[in-house]
Amino acid sequence: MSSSTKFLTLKTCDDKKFVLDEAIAVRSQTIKNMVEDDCVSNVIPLPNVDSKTMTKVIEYWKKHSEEGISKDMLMDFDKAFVKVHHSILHALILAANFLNDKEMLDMMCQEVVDRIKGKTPEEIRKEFDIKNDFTPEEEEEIRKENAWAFE
Amino acid sequence: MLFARKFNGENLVSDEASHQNSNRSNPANPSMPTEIIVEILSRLPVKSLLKFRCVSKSWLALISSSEFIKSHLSLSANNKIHLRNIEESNLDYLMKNLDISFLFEGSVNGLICLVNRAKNIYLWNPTIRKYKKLPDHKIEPKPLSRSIYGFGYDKIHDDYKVVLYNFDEVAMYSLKNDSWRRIDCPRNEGRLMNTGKFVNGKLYWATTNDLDLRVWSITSFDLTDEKWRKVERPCGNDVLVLGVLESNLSIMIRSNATTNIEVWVIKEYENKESWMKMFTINYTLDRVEYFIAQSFYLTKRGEFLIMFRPYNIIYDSNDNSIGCLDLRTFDFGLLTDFYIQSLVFPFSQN
Repeated sequence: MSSSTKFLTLKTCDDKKFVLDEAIAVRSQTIKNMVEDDCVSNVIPLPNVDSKTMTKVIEYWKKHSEEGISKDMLMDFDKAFVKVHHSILHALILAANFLNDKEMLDMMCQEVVDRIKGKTPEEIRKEFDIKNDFTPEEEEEIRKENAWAFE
Repeated sequence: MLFARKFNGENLVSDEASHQNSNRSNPANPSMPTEIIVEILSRLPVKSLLKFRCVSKSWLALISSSEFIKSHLSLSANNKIHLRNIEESNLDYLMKNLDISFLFEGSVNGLICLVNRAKNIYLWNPTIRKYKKLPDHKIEPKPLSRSIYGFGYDKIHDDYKVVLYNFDEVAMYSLKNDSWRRIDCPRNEGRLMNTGKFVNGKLYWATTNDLDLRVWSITSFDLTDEKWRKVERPCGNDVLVLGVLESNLSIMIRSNATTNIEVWVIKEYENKESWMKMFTINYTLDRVEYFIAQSFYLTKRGEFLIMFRPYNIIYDSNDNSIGCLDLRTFDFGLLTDFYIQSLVFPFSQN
């Protein structure tokens, strides 16, 4: 069993340290598991998260842990929170995935969905940094199968 | 389909993508792991996914895979994400332009079962605009007896099945095997009426007693163990109409005392006591009208809709008004428990 640590220190990949109330930090299932398995020494390393991203994550965690905050206020906060450049959005998704915060991951993924659903395949490749590995003939054939979807 | 089959054998986690992941040192936009891509794509409307099939080979393989089709389906079914995207559904357009001779015989996981006047049966996914005509079942139509259908999904065998009931002959079609075979008849003196309602692996039919047409009961058929069972009804034995409300089996009956319409819902199917009266509608239908009613639905505006062939009644619980409905102008997207969008192919995937 874990000894009742009040505060945890998180260290990001760029060597910045964040001191955080354990009750807030365990919104991350990854951190929670470490605390429960009692493998928390002094500092929890987060090798996949940089400090800029972690600052945003902690801002989200703190807001969602505030006592007496209304649903409407949280909704407004969330709405504003996801309005970031897509590179930050992607970084937050990777962080939420690594930290295993399902609620945050769901929200960020839904934001990506809302942004991309009307886009063209070319725009998608750019957004996700994907190389088109079809020959023009192959691509043409796939497009023809569902030509109406491109109308 | 051509490319989908070609790339099906590939590992969904594209090697190329993961190499890019490690080789590319672009911290501003690191590549997303496949699990996140799946998480995102599962929430997209079908139309976007059909477009994104040509993004790359690994996206095509992913979007065409049966695992992905299922995870996409479960999200649209459970989270009702489709509500946001209803404007993109072309169901409305197609329902209104359907040949009048097509009858709707149920919808499961985005597939719709239709039967035309020539008794040809079709499975159709209007969202991806694909349909399949089922092979001949070789069951002769009986004079004075209408064929009864039921369409559902067998989760255990991951198979879509159509049951055709012709009183003393019953056959079941399996999409996986793309063939019909005879199955047992229900072992009682009942006669199945109307289209079967599909709830959670079983089909349910309103059933009349052959010796006494005034006595009605409920018969179920389990698509997995292929057993017929009787389901206890809440009260009386008068004519009843089956429906599905909030994914539960529901019945519409005529109140003995007031002749009003009563709507009941059951949650535990083995337990007669779990029938609960949901609401009463201060309106009287003739017994004959119960006979010709096909089903009932709730709309997202809170109205209660009774579907008859060929006309429809809508009851608005908001102002207690009753009206007739023109299906040609009706927005089918308003019906709950009616249709969800999916990528499910109406073909055998073997």
